[in-house]
Amino acid sequence: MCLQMPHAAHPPSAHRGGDGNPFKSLAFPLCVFSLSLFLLLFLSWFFVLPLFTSFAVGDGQRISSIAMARRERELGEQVRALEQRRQALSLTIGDPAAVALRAQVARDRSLRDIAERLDATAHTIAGTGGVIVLTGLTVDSEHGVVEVDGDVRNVQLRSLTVLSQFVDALSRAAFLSDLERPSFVRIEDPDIGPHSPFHLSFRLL
Amino acid sequence: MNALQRPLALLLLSVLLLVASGALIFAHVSAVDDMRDIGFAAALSAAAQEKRIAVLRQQVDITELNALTRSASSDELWRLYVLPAQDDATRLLAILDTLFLSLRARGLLTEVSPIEIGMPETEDLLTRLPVRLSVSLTPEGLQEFLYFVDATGILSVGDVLTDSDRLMLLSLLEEENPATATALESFLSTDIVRFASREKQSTDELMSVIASDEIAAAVQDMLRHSRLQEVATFFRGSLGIEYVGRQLWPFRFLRVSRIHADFLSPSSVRIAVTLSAYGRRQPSP
Repeated sequence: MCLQMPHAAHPPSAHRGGDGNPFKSLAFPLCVFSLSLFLLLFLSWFFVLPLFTSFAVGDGQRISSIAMARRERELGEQVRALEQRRQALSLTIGDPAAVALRAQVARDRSLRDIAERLDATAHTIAGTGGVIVLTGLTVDSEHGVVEVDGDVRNVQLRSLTVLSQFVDALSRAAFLSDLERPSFVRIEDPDIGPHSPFHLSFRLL
Repeated sequence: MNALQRPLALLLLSVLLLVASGALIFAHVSAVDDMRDIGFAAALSAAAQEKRIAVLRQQVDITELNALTRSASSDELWRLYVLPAQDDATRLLAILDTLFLSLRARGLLTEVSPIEIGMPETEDLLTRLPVRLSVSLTPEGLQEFLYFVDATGILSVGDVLTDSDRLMLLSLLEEENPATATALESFLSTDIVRFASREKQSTDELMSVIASDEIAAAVQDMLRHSRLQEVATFFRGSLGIEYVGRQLWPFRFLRVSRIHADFLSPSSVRIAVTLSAYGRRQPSP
């Protein structure tokens, strides 16, 4: 419609763009603007932006952020490999049989260590004074199993309560699992009075 | 191109250029975001890693050089005595007998059962000889017996320290001059008997290369809380001296496979123990 308006009606300024129609008159400037913007951004992408978004890594080379992240991962792997090499070199004997055996022994818990942990648990429940007495302790390192024999005494008729508290405290201890609860029994003895012998077992963690 | 088509083409071109420009603006924003979120953190970390790699390379190079020049005698002792290929029950019995005689002489042992040596078993790279015995001891005697078992399989300071102890030592000294790697290597390969007899001198030699007081204090603290003190005390004691004097050290690698303790009274414990005396499995012909 408006494209078909007579030439005489066109203002001089609209001569290049068309015949006075804003659609025709905008086409060329818009194209020039778009082209300029695109060229600027294009040049910026290749020549300006890298100056601000890349890192010099020696020899005048620059790498992007993503490449830097990849490089950081590779360096991390190199660090780990060197640490392992250093750790291996720090072993005075590098014999695989010795290393395997040492690792096995390092996992073992000694009788001393377990007795100390049991004593500490007994101490928190009943304090000192020979209330929870350990009479026997078996540590099977091959299978990671511990068996404990003991007796709760010197607390009159509370021996079962104290034993139950001891077992509950052990069941919450971090160094063991699969605690097999003992049979709860109170026995009268003319020498030591009422007491509760127990036998329990657990696995070492 | 007619009058209608030219502006339309220009407009289409403009739209395409604007879309491409939009994509480029988006790419710019993404690049700046990546720079802020990933690039800076990665660059900082990479710079630290590069420094660490330089230090680690120096440490590894120095340690490798020292390992090359290190005497092969410890490897030889290890193969002959600690993990022998042949079961040497005579030496093993002499070691146990010396232990029990010493404990009895000091009133720490009251009774010892006959020692039973079972048939050897094999597992992966190792052989295992079961040794069963029962002993009645005082609590101090039991402690010494367990110290003795802990002291088997140890030739040098490095053998006493756990992996985590060694890692901590290496990490602490990493901050220092790489030359500390030589001193550390020398410290770790010090013969445990020699260390026990001149502990202060050996530790001072290591400390002398550490410039930072904080790191020196941390290293000393770590050594104080490791098993090193316990083992050194054993070798400084009368039993340790007797073993060295009778040339029964290095000990064969022993492990407590199973132990049952009856606490008979506050001053008496009876133990029934199965020890595993390890050896090296000989390769099949």
